[in-house]
Amino acid sequence: MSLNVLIVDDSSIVRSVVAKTLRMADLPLGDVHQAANGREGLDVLESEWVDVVFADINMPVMTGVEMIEQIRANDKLAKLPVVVVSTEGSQTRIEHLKSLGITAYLRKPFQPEQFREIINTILELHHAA
Amino acid sequence: MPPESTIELESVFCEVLETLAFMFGDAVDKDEIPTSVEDVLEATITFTGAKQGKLSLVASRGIAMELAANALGVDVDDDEADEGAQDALGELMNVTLGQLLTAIEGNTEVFDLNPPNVTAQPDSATWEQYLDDPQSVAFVVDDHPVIIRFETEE
Repeated sequence: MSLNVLIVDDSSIVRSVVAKTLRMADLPLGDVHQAANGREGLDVLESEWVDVVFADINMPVMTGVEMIEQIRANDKLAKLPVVVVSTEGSQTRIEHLKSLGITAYLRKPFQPEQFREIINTILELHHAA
Repeated sequence: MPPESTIELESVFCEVLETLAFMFGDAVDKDEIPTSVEDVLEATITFTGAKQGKLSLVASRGIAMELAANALGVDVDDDEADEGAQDALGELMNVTLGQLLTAIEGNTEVFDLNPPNVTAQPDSATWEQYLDDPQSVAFVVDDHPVIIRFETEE
């Protein structure tokens, strides 16, 4: 069963790198959606079925935190796995993200091997769902 | 810039370059880089929070295209590298600043990073301004000269 993915980051380079890393990890990818900020990310989630979100935090228009808070407040999306990929280094912010139930936190710059561990977690969640 | 911040900047910038784009940089004395460089990109990113400030960089378009090419896994002559050059430089600044603030301030302080701003500077005036600034630090990255400046206010 394939995974539909949403990648949310204001950098098109980062979106391309994340998509490429996912493809190279032999993840059974379905549709790969991209959004440049939290608002666009929510728009995609309203119209497309997504199995996992990879999200940056510092973005214009709507931040990743604001987007995740709205995801968790939406009954239809509340359990959607979200992986944060960010430059954020503050433990206060990271703890807040964890309290929002994120699946994993990956700090930039990330190594492809770190992605593999997270992908295994996502696949376990997907199979359990 | 306090000496300890300079040391952290040198270390963080080189580590980020290597991890993000498989490129290798070294901090150098300013007399080892050109005194004028035209057609450069200037990238700035500001931050607020526990402190506020700005990280700024000036570099040739060539290094930005190499950054994009390496990050995307394409040839530097590929259209994708040219199209992604400014974005790649902005992301380099974003990641460097995030890591730098943690290195200097620790992981308890909260900072908000604004989106990076990258502009093309056709003549050498901007390069020369950075070179003349005593707060700036010079690097050579895969044979390309780069100048960076980190400023903070309490």
